[in-house]
Amino acid sequence: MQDPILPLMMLIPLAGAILMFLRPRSARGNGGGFAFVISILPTVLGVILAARFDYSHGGQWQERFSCNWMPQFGVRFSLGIDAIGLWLTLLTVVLTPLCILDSFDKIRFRAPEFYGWMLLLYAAMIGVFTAHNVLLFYLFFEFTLIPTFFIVGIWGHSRRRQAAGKLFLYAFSGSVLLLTALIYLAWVHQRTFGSFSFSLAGLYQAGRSLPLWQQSLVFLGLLIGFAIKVPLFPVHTWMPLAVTESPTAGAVMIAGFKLGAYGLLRFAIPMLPLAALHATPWLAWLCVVSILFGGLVSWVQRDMKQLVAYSVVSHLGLCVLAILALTSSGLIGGVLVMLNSGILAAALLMVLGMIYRRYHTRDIQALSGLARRLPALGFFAVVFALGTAAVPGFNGFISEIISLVGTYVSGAPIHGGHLGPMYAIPAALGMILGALYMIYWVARIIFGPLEEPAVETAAPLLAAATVPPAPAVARDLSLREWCVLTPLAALVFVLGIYPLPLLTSMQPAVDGIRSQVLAAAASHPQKLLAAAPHPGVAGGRFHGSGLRLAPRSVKPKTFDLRPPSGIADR
Amino acid sequence: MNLHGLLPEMIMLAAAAVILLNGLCPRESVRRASQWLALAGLVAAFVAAWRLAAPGQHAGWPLWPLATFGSLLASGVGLLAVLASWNMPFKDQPTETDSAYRGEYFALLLCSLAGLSMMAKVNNLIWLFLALELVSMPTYIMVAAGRGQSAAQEAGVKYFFLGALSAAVYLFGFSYLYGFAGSTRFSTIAAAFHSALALGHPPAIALIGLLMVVLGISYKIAAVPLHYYAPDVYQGAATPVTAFLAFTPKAAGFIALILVFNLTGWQLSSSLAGAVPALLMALAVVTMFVGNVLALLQRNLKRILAYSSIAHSGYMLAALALGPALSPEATRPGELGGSSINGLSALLFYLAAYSLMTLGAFAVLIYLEGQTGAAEDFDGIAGLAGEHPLAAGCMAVCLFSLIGMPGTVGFLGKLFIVQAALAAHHPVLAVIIVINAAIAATYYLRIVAAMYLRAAATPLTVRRPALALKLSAAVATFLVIFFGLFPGALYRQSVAGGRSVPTVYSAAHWPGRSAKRTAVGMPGSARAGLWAN
Repeated sequence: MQDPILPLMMLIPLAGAILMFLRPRSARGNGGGFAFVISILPTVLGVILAARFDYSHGGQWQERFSCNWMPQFGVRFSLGIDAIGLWLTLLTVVLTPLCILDSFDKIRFRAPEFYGWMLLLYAAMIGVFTAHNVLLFYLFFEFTLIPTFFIVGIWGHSRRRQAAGKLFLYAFSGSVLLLTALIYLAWVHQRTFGSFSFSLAGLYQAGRSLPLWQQSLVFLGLLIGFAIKVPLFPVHTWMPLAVTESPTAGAVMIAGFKLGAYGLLRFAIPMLPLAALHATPWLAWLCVVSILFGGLVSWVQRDMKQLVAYSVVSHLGLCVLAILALTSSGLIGGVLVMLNSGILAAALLMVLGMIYRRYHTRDIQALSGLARRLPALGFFAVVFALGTAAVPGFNGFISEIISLVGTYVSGAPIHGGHLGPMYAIPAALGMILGALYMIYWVARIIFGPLEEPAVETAAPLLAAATVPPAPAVARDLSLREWCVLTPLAALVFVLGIYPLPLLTSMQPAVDGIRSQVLAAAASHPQKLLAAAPHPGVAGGRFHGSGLRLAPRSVKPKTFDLRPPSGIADR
Repeated sequence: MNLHGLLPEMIMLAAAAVILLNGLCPRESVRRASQWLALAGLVAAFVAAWRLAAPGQHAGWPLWPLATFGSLLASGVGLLAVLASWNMPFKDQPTETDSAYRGEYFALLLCSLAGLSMMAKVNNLIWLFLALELVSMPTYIMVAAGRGQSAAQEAGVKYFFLGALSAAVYLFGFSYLYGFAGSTRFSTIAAAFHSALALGHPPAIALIGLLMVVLGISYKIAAVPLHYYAPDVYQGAATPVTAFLAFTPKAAGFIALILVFNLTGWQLSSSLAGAVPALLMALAVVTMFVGNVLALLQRNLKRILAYSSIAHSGYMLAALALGPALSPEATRPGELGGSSINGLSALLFYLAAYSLMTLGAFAVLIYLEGQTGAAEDFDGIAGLAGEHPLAAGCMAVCLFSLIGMPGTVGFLGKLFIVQAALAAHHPVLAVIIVINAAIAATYYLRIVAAMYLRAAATPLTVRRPALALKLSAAVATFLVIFFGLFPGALYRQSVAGGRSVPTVYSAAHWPGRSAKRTAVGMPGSARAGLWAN
């Protein structure tokens, strides 16, 4: 029962962070090498984890570690992963060491502190994706703000302080409402089942037992917290600013890890299925707006980091849309977008960081034809841009097509979701937009006649002390930069060509979530009232329940009510 | 309760007396022992309080866990306060007279703590008044005597006159309660309330008395409507005194409010009487917003912390308004789950949490007070992290705790209050509290940002700080994190304290002559009205 791997994966970076903070100032070097070695250890553990994972039962929580922490209020230090958690954890242990490796030449002052915060953030991220107790999840989720705040605020670009403050305050405001909603659910658990508990299974039960109006209020609390974190359209403004102003590593940690979408998938929707189904059309429209808005804004950006940031907004809109579709393929597609968009955004941000390191500019207009000067960098840029543009054969394609298909078929009778072509078609426009802005970017920056800014003119534009000087003549990738980009490019191809292991291993997990949600919504006494605006929810199973309101002449749809197999979330 | 129960207070007062004498000694080296004597006295008081807090002690005394919580809080946090004011008085010019009142300062501090410590051990309005004033009187002197600047004098005058006014107001309220019940004994007043509530609602005289008590004591806790003095006084007083002010009168005021409301049996739910808890809740909400919004406008760190202390009073007032009642769902037999935390337990936990984190933040400010004035605004602490990483770290931890970030005791404090609010069916209050937490994050974060994200404008000069001062900041910070991760001990004490307050009045809860008579002669509440009038 007590598997030490997950806690070790968290404790090693934590210990490393503490060592980094306690490091004497007289120590030689800047601690980067040490931090990298520390950050590789969880990766090794991650490989062991992946080898030991029982993929045939991907819906079950495995590698459990559980001990009492604060028994007085139902908090257990309880970790575990199912297939979704496994892949997201693996993403974390791959991206973070690369971030640290990538930072070696970029962080020139207060470096040990930087690596300390990175390792702390690393530990918190692993905690977010492996927590199996809701309050524990919240602790990690919230705690990620502190290292992010410092990383953006200290080592960022000229507007770093504004960006850091905005990031913290947006996310904090959302998450206090999230916390209130979670405490309310824990209290409902006490009222209903007799013990105050934040256990995942317990809160699922508690949330599902609530009447619709309460579910809606609680869902609203959770939604505000997660939507800000995702970020969805009206509350997204912190994210492009933070990504743009942050150093490369911080930008990757912000844009590469989809905590908000994960929270919606794992907590908000399964806990409050009725409210979630009820809110689906509204939310889905927000997602569609996010997709199109993000894509359009990306298209007109001159700042390359802004371009990537808005493309992430766009992709996350698709991710949440696919999750809301509540079909197997939609949910899988949503998780795939989290993974693939994470990899691609991280890779693009690193490429931009390398360009910035050489030219001290992020302006699209100032650069052109870099393939002539930097062929290797140009190659990677093209690969990642094509991936982001969802060209077949690259990983972005897989996730987007599966998400779109999942959304498209969602309204079909056998699926029981609430979305359909009405949502999938505008979302597909987002794909076209993605191709437009990425191809435009690649064509402009990488190809065409060589055009480089003179170093002297670029220098005054940046935050002077924070950035190492640009070389007089830009040189192609160093060995270290090769080491950073190669694994990412390999992942882009591997996941683009052979994603089957991901799909099959996640199938039971998402089916578990899906059947739980639909069954809980279906067996809820208020199901038909709830379904009134979307009569499709009323399924054949409820004939003669006595509660039935005559739906307004819409053809009834049924849920796929397979018994929740292999759901072991307790 | 026999005298044994007052051991912590006796130790503190005895130590105060010894220090007073010691401070008169002509030899400087002997006078310098004052801090050590204060420290020893508080350690002894803490040990005594700890032994008294063992289960089974004074089982017959009502509210004994609350009383021991007060004693533990007073002596425990008092220890940190003594460490933080090790260099007191800060000398504008190190003259003979300055070190002459070194002894007085620590004696006054101990007297004030003794008042706090005995706060929950009183059973009479007169004693309650005496305990409250024992807390406040020494602080009036401490504010003015701390330093020779005119700001300190102004602060002292403001603090004293407004304090006297507030004392008059709540004493007037006490007199109405006396007029209502015919006695100053808690037992008699409680019985009078009980019978009056049984008949309908208590007469207006009692409610007016209660209102005046609330208004008067709102001065002690720096809550609306008597909060105006706080920023000026906090800014004007020497920083160690400010740290002390932010903790002691507030803790005393909240315990006093618990005692006073306990007289009503927490049963003020009829239409007229219900106005009192409603007023309390309204005050809580207004206090939160006033404190947090006005703190946004401040540039001076001490003023920010002053407004923040107002805001935190708002959170605690909200917890007080929730009262000791547990919702029926939370009181299943054998259930000791977290939701059985009631408003008062949450209040006590928050009080301790607030004391630790505020004291830690002030200790760092004291540490930073350079030879050329103090590091009082954002520019003064800019770039602190680079030059004094440990000080900045302590400050950051305390500020994140004040924000309510997970992993710190401030998070758990907010969690408990929100939990109590939800369990008492006040979801709107819970949401208001968390919205305020979000507002508050803005100004705390500004301080963190100044320390970590900015470069120092001028090199910070730090006078050679006493080891004790560093120790107080470090211990407070450590406890903020320790109780944030392992709240067990603090949680047990505060839950015991909060639960010891009876949710429904019965005469046996108040010892004393009349209670004994009830217990012997006419048990139960049915006939309480016979002797209440």
